Order: sequence, then C-alpha cells, then structure tokens
Amino acid sequence: MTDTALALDRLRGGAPPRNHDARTIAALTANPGCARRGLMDAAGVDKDAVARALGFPAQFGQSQFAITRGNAFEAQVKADGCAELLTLLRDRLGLRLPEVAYDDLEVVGGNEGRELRYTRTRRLLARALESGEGTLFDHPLLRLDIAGQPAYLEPDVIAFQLEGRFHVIEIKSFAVIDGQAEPDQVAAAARQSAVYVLALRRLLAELGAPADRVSHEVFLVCPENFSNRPTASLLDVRPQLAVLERQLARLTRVDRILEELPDDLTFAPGDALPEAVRAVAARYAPECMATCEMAFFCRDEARACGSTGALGRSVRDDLGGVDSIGTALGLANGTIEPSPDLVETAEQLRTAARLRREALDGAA
Amino acid sequence: MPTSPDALTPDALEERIAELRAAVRRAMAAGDRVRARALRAELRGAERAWDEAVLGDGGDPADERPWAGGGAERGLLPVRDQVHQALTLLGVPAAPKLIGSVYAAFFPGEIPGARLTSLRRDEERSFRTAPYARPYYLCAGLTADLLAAARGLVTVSTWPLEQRIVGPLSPRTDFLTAAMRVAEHAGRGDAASSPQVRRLLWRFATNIPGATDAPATGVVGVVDPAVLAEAARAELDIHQAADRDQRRQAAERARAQLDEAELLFGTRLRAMRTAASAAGGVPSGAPAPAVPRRRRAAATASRKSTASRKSTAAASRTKTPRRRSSAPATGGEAAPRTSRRTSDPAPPRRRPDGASNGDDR
Repeated sequence: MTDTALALDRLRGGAPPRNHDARTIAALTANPGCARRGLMDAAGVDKDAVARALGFPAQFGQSQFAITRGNAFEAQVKADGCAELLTLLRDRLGLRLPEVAYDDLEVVGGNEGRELRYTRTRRLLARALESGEGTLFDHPLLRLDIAGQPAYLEPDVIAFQLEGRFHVIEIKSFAVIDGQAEPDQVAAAARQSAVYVLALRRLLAELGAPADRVSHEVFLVCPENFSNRPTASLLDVRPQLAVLERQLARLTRVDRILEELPDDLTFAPGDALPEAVRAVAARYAPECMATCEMAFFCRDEARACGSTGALGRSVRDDLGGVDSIGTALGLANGTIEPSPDLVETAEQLRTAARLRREALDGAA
Repeated sequence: MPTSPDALTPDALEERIAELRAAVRRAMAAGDRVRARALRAELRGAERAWDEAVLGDGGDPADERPWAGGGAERGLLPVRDQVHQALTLLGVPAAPKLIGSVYAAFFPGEIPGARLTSLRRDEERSFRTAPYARPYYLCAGLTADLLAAARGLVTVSTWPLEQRIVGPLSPRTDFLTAAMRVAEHAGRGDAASSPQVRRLLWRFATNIPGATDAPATGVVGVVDPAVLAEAARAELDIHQAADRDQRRQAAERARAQLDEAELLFGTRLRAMRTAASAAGGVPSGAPAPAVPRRRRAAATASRKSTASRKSTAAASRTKTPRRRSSAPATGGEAAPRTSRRTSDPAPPRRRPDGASNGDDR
C-alpha cells in the first residue's frame, strides 16, 4: 500500500470506502478545482454522513420512488435471460440470433468483493477480446483513475459485444415520449455513460486492445411513451467523452493536496470534524447544490467569509483576483486603495458603482 | 446428547428419529410414497415427543405457534409445493416472478410473493439439518463456471444436475424451453382462453422472433400456442447444442468437486477453499481460479472480517467439521447431525412443510 493510500484510509477514519459511480464522477468533473471534494471522493469518504455530522444534512438525493422505479424497470428489461433487451438489440442493431450469451458479473461465487469482481470482469473481457466469446456482460466492475487514485465504478449497466466492438447499454427509467425525452435527463445519461465508456476503454487498453473496440455510441434503453415497454436509441457520447478526459487530466492530484495538510487529519466523526473539513479548501459555487452533499456546509462557509464564489461562477470570474465581497465593495467605493495588479478591476468596479448610482438617482 | 441431562428418553427418541428418517429416505428411494408418508407422520410424532421431553416444562410456547396456527389455516397447498408444481410445469430454473405468474395462470390460487424470498434459504437450512429428509428440495441453480448458486433462480433437487446448471447460454435456452412448455400446456384443453394465460403467452411471444405471427387468431395480443412453441423450438435449435455441452461439462466438474449440500445449494466459500486446496498441492480442477492467489487471499481476509451474514457464518461453521468426517458421515447419519446440533444454537427442529420459515429466524 502506498503512502497516499494509507493517508486516504486515515482520512476515512477506518470506515469502508464508498464506491464511485458514474454520477459522482460526472459531478466531480463539474467542479475540478475543489480540493475538498476531490480529496473526500478520492478517499471514498461518506460525504452525506460528514455533512450530517456537521449539521448540514443534504436535503436532496434521488427520490426513493425514482430509485425503486429505476430498479423495477431494469429488472423487467433483464428478466428471463434479458429477453426484452435481446429483442431490442436484434431489432435495432441487427444482433444475430446465436448471440445470446449472458454473464452475470454482479456476484462472483456468492462474493461481492470489489477486487474479485474487477478481476473477473477483466478476465471475461480479455477472453471476449481473444475469442469473441460472450455477448452480454451484466454489471461489470470497472476501474478508473481519479486524481491519481483508482476508483471502482459500480455501473448500472451492461457491456455488450457486437461484431467485436463493445457497446455500453444504459437502462434508464425516464420515458421517451413520441421519440422525445427530457433533454436534461438525456444529457445526464450521456455524461454518465461517457464515464463507463471511458473506463471500459481504459480497461481494454490495459488488455492491449485499441480504444475503438469500445463504441462511442451508447445504447440507451428507456420506457416508451406512457407504457412500460422498453424502447432504445443510440446516443453519441463523443462530446461528453472529450470533456471528461480533459477534466480528469486537469483534476488536482490528490497527493499534492495531501502534502499541504497536517499528518493527523481525519474526517472521522467527532469534535474536530468541522476544523478538519475547513482545513481543506473548497471552491463553492451555487451549482454545487445540485451535485455535492457538502454543498450546504460550503455555502454557509462561503457566505460567512463573504466569498465572491457564493454569488455564482460568472461573478467570481468577472472579479478575478478579488476574493471577498467586502473587498469588492471597498474597491467600488474607493475606501480601499487597490494594489497594482487590481487597478484595472478597481477601475471597472468604480465605473459600475457610478452607473448604478446614476441609474438609481435617475429613477428616483 | 449433552443438552439433555435429565433422562434417557430423549436419547431413545433420537435413535428412533434417526431410524425413521432413514426409513423415510429408503421408502422414497424405492418409490413407495404411501409408506413414506406414513413414516413421516410417525417421524413428526417422535419429534414432537422429543420436543416435549427436552423443552417440555420450560418450552417456549412461541415455538408451537407456527404449527398450531398453520395447521388450521393450511387448507391450501404449502408454498413449496406450489413452487414445485410451477417448476415442474416449466422444467427449467426460473425466477420467482416467472414461477408466480405461471402458477397464477395454470393453478388455482396464487403464491404469496413474500414467501418466495426466504424459501431457498429455509430449504438449505432444512437440508443441512436433516439431509434428504424431504422427498425434494427447492434449491439453487449452479453457475457453470464457479459452481456457485446462480442469483435469483429456483430449481428442484430431483432434476438431473445438467438441468440445474446455468451456463452463459442457459438463460436464453431456459427461456425458450419454458416458452415451449407453457405453450404446450396452454394448448391442451381450453386453458389458453384465460386472460392470465394469454398474458403469459404474450410475454413469451413478444421476445421470440416469429412467435407473434399468428394468422390463425389474427388478433393483436392473442398468441397461438402452437406458433409460439414452433418459434421457440426454432430458436432453441440454434443454441441448444452449445448450451448442452457447457452444462454437461460443468455438471461433471460439479459431481467431482462438490459435496452433497453444495451440489444442491452451490459453493459459497469458493475463494477460501480453492486457496486452501492449492496450498495443499491438490489440483483445484477445471474452473480456472478467477484471481491470482494473493488477491484471493486478500479477498478472503476481507470477507472473513465482514462475514456478518449469518448464513455464511453458519455454513463455514458446519462445513469445516463435516468435510473432515465426510467419508463416515454418509453412512452413519446420527453422528454429524449430533455434532451440528451442538454447534448450532437453534436448529430448526421441525419440518412444518411449507410453513418452514415460521419459527427459524
């Protein structure tokens, strides 16, 4: 075990690590500059528990009904040896009749260990690459390096082999009505599927196969109209893949964050928890509310210190170099003398303040 | 019997119980069901007497409740018999959902869904407590590669092992076989006219190419059982040879490697056992170990630490002594059971067929 892995174990305070899923990785790429989130995710800290211990429980999360509905639909599509799925694949992609092999990778001999499942996934895919054996692979466990640390992906997905190319099948329970689905939902599905495609490509690359053995087209299975009948469409995730790869490369490496932290830092519940969390810098933006369990705590912190990020990303970017709202107001009033590198920003702020004053005076 | 210091009677009763069990098994093996049933009734009487002798004065009345209550209400078939009927019709390993809809379509009444979830575990516990005490067990399908219990499939212990193996192609062949069996059953008499049967046939037909071409009926949503059976057979022909090969090979391996309970309920501690046998220099057989040994050891260690699931713990507890004494155990039945009884704090003493999960929890 490396030093980094030991340090991450310590951060978790002995609790077992949480699996990444495509949702968390897609969210991670939404705010790549946030060291707090990067560190907690890399260590597999239960952020929800930490936020609750801090007194800022996350009030969102997928609805239990949505989860149940999703699981029921997935079970239906996969029932009876993936009967409905096979019918779809035969109709839409021309899957040949003899191609019906199904390998369940969710449990290995009654054991759900991550290493075991990953090894088995790897072995079966290697076999598939060599001999073309195997068609459907249910719940493969993939691995992706996030900020220098391997993260296991628990994909809710089937990898599927057609004429030597692998496709990712994503089963979602939002309805496709008259050929149209909610754009937000489709975008989210595309982002998540892109993570699986990327992880699958990395795995195949390790096995010595070219990246294009994994198709960039994802087979999205959804209920049709208002029925429970599944329908399917192909989703091109090339743009999402490009974004994902760039963001993952840009993520601050975890070991660099760890270097600057005290050696005894831990996120285990206790009196020292708030200090421990504050010791790692966050980069709050209002978008965090939708994706990160720690958002309420970070928002509170950002407001308390008057951080410009709390007003939104565009405000923070416009005020480049000015960290707090107080400083910005001071510069606008002229009560704070700008340092040489802020002269230009201060000039603009003063202009904005003058315009606002004039507008308000004119209205009055 | 260390738990009964008071009298000789329980010992005598235990001998009698052991004798009766052996006699029931012999009768079943000989195919004499009438005699077996009579012997089983006697066996239950002896077990009840044992309970009274051992637990009599301080016995928990709650122990008796599932019996007393169940006996009055059990006018209908016990759940395990219902499942057995549906599975016999299907003839393939099946998921509880399919079993439920087949039963609802062709038999009177319904199978309460909640009872199905714990069924297999109850059966396994019953088997490990008193092997072959029942004429059949509802048990697991075995995955072809690791010979572990296949997820969410129920089978019958009296089927040939090949039929209970689940290879990569088996989910599809089993689906097609089930479609044929259901279609043939529906084709007899006027069963096909009931809406539940029609729905079941439609469910199969929509996912088999050519099965919905029904010139005879001409109505959407109505399937001609003969067309369905024909279409299913046509696709089955494509997969069957390869599937049968895989199943046969896996079954041979299973017979060579597994003990009796594992043959029915699958191996659970595969990782640990192959690691042990590999260390001992015994060739571990055909299923290539899924993992390098270093990893497997790690997985086993982590599994040990997290093995809070009672069944796993119980399995490992009972397995270790039994494997060692497996040769004499098959002959003399009483010895291993006594040892298990002392090791297991609350063995399910009774076999209230169908209501088997009433008191052991």
